[in-house]
Amino acid sequence: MGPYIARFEPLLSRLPAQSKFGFVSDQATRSEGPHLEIAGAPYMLARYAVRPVRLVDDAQLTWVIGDFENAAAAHAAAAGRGFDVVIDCGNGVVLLRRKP
Amino acid sequence: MIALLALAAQALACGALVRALLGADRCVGLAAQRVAITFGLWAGVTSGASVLALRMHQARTVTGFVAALVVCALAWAATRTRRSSCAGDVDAGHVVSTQTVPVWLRTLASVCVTLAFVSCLLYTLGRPHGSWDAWCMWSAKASLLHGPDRTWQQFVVDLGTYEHPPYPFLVPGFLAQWMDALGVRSTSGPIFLALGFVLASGMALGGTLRNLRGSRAAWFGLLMLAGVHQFPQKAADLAADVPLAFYLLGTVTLLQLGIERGRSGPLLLAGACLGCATWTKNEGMLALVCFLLCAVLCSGASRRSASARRIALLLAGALPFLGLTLLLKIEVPALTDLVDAAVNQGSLVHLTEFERYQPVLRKVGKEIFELGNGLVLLLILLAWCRQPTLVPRKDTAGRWLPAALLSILFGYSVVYVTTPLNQDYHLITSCVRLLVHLVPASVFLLVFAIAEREHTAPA
Repeated sequence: MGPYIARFEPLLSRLPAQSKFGFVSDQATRSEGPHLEIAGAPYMLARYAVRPVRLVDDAQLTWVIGDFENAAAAHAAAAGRGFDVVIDCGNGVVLLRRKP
Repeated sequence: MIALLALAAQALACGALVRALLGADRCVGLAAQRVAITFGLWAGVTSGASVLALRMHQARTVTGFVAALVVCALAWAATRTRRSSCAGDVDAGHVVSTQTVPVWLRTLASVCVTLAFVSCLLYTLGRPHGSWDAWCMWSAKASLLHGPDRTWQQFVVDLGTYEHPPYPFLVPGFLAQWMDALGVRSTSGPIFLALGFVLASGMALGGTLRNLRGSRAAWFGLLMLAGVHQFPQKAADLAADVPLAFYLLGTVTLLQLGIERGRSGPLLLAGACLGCATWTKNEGMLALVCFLLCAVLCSGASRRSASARRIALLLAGALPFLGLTLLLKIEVPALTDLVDAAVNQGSLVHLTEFERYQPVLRKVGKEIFELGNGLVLLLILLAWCRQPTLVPRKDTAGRWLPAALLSILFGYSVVYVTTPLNQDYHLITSCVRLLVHLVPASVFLLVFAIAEREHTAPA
């Protein structure tokens, strides 16, 4: 739980001023702790990790926070979904912006 | 800095109100109870101000100061009323300890209480984000109130994306004010709240028992509560269960105090505690219904007017927090399994499925027996053998309060039978914490019933 939250720390101080961010992940579940096998756990964890920034479970927004297995997976997913990688934390956590 | 001042102002105002309603007696027991109830009331008032600020499109600090002023005005009015009331209605009647507390009891209780608190601290520090419920819901929802550009409409929409949207907001509301005061994102708020409610529970339990039954009863009560290891464990989950347990304890202790002394102030505060319980968790709504229903059912024919007065005072105290709860329930449109008619129809069908009763009875019975690894039951047995005759009661509170707690337990059991969720999963994940809600209040009533009253100070 703690290490997972810490993955988002480098992102927080560099987020642009936006009212809300979308969320995308390549994992349906997480295995870091009890109950995290429940579907939607990555989104809930990320929402808690970036609080009080508003995060919604929607990958269609312009600004989207991504949580992936590793940096390579994040870049591949961004290219496939039509996003630019704006911030790369190097650990699979990225800030994406939809290509115009 | 201003947000911190607003928090402090609300704490001072709550302290003044509790002092005005409970009395300014220097008795150690009453002083401990005053501190505990002040903490609980403060949490309720600050969280209420947080939510109202958003609803009324006002800055949270401004609303915090206004709330402090309103509470101060109430304290002033209560002090004036007490001064103009009869002289016998103040401060007298607390127990003056004449018995020496056995060294073994004092030592054992001190060690157990210390160990319980240290274990709570270690559990919390080892898992500073708390359990799933804490980070997924209670702590996370505080963010919905945070931020300068927040609006009530956004809040309602965003709340719909969380689990259990219309859950009451005492814990998240307090944490939002805490985040304002500190100015940084931190796990300190939930930890402060959890440890605060553990300490407040001990102070309310020990303080009231000392006040009404003497030092020996107070030490014995603290020993029993410290023996229930599930209590500090659940506190460290940083969810809303221990706060709810505190509010139920506060309700029971203040009702007992008010009824024994024939005073209105404690009954009003008991109502405020019950209101805070409804503002903490949905189970608090069940508690409110149970307390009111049992007050009616347990009042004898000759005591109807006294019972009506108590219910009126209880409701008057609960009203502000009940209003907040209803505001949230009405304005957050998302339905839960509690109010969804289609789900409720399915739930009622479960009542006739008798095979669903057995697992509930087995699990609830097992968990009650295992509270504190069974040691608490042993202590109760020892106490019972030592004091086989219950102290006779003058008042219906002797039946009302235990009946209310038992009916809450019955209500929980009915939910387990009727719930549309997987019953086994539901029992495994929530049975212990539901019982923890009732532990401090039950310990108080047990010790109160079996303890012999010591000398009373003259009026």
